[in-house]
Amino acid sequence: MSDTVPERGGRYDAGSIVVLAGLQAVRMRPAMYVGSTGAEGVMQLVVEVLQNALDEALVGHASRLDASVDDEGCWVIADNGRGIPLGNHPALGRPVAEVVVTELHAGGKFREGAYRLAGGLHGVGLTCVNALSSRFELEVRRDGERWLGRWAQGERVEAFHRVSAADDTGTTVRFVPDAAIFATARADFHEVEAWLRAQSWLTSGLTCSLARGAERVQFSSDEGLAGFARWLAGAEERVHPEPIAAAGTAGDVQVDAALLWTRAFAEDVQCFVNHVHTPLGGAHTDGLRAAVGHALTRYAREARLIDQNEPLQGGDTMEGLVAVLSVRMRDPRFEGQTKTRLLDPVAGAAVERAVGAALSAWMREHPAESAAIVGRAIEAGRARVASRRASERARYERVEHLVDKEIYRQQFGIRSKNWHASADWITNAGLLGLHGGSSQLGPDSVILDVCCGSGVVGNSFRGKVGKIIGLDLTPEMVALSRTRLDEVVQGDVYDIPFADASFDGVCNREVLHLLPQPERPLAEIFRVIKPGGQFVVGQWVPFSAIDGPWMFQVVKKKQPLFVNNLYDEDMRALLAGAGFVNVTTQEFLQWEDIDNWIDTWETPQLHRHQIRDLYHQCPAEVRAVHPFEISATGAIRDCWRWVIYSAFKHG
Amino acid sequence: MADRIKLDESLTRESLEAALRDEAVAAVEATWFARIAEIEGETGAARALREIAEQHQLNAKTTLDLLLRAREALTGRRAGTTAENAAALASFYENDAEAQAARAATARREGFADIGSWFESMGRLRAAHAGRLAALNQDGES
Repeated sequence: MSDTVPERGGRYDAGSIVVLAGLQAVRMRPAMYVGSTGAEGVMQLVVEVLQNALDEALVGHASRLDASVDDEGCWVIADNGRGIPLGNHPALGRPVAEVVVTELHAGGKFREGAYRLAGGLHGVGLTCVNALSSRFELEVRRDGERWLGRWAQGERVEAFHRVSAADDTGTTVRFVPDAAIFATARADFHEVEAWLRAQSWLTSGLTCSLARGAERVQFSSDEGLAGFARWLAGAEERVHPEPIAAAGTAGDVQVDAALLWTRAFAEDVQCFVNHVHTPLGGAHTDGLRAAVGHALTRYAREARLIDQNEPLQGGDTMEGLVAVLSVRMRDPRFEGQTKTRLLDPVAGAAVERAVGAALSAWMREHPAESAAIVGRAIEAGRARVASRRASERARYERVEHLVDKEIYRQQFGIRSKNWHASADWITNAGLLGLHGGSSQLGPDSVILDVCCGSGVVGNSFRGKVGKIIGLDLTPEMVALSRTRLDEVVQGDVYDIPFADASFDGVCNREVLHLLPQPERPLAEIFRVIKPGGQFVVGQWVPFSAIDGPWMFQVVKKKQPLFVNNLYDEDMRALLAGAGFVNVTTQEFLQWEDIDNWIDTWETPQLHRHQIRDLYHQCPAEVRAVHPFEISATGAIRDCWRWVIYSAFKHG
Repeated sequence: MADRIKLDESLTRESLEAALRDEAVAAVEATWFARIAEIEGETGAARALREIAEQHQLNAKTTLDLLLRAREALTGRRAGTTAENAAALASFYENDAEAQAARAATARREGFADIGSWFESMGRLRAAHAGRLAALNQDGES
């Protein structure tokens, strides 16, 4: 690799051209090789070594894959495969094992036959790990001998040499991700666990283990992809009891899949190519969608469940689907070095054919269950239409016709069934604690929880005030909150059914962004507070102007009733405009499980995909100000900035 | 033969401005629709839309390249250097922040609160980007 960056005003000639040796190049541009220098990059190192060990299992030479990590972040990954060949490389005159970990594009995967269906970074994997580790050790057990070599930041510390006799075979890699390269040098233990668990289902006869101190887990399964799908479905109610299996081969492409429809809203589709997880999908995932959409539409028409000219929408047919798709093929083409998306159209066609045929055959043999699956898709379509209607009705045409309250009642009535499980923020103890903890009210005071939902915010004032009264528009929420609050009234925040100066305090959380003209409910809140009374309101806000539009898109796609993208300065202006004074704030950062958050009735399937795309394609300047994480398994966690405002009405 | 018309004074320049907007809009639309087709499992349509989007992107860049010649003539300054480009964008952001605020007010007045909020968010981002580019230029001059 060469670099051509002449100094300003300096000479630029042949001497200016810097040629970096292979591993220097990796250290200088680590993100180019492992995706990032954050936690995802560290995870990529661990996966690279695991993938290398897994390749021995895929060709039938290893049955165990053992990983462990110690308190210093040192990973030890071992397999019981054949071990990297000993002896010198014929062309380079150096030990083959040393070449494999120090030369880019060296390995057994380039030769036909050695690893027909390998994963990994095409011969740069172990070399990258070596280059980006502060400590790297390779141990090979083969031909009755144990050999060892040591490196640090890619530089040799101890030559690869014979250490002792060995009575087993295999390869062990020990490494510590370099803290000088990575912002965090620790890989997420649970992500590695998820990776190993997946591989144990994908690879027949493979036992995987993972240890950290006294904590140890082991995975081994002969249930295959069906077992994987059952595990992913967890306790969700199933539309049919057992996964539908699909298998087929087209040319060089071998397809295996398991499909299981549940009553959940979001889909959970895990796709693999040669055992490499592809979180952004690609051709094979598109093939699965096409197969499912066409098979369900065909069946629904034949069974006269829909009109002949009415197609089921692709997104609706995937709603609630748990699926595992495994494609094995020669030389797959991926987008990007870290293989997040498959590009080969041939894989898509093979998947569409195999899954379509298996699903159609299964549907013909299971008419009752098939009708239930199609019914699920029809239900999803109705919810999608209702969501669009909600979005349209949330816009008001005249001030006096502010909002269609029925839409709010319908949505929150449905969500009340699993309200606390539908998002982490709702019952987050730290966040609730800051609401109740802001109270400057006396022990005999009376507080009103406006738009109280299940009453958890009002309840956070328990023990600090004398009486807590709730107000909510939705009858289901009123019933729910009556288990927590002293008294609950059904009513409208735009027209609070209480006289002026009725309460010592009012509390509210995460509602103002759903209310057109938020100054009007704030005026009502101000009206019902006694002079000198306190208002406590919690609201998530963007971190800055930079992430604001991105957050708007995420939230609008999730919640069609979202109408106000409130920034911190907007909240302060609203409070001041209503007449509140002495505004103080506390901030709270809360990590939300986005996959769970978007698994709700009001978010159509298409929008769930678009939300995930927003995270995957998030602009760099947004990522710089707004933390979020995408795990190796595709799970998304977002850090939300909450601000809890305390304000007072003049005494 | 009539005098040659200058590009910056011509109807052709206006056509280029309109064509740039059309190509950029079509590129975004085709990319967006391709993604929807992917999610819906319409693989053939998705591929066609992506390929069409690539063409629109290329066309937009070429149209912009032609248009820059007219803008050079209008401003009397050469375009194309990073400092010039950043200054031009910063100027656009400053003007557009005000335009976004006006759009937000109209949307709110007409009852479209969510669209008004979107314009306001965009206006804030424009101001932030103008500041970022101004800082870039200051760094370059220092």
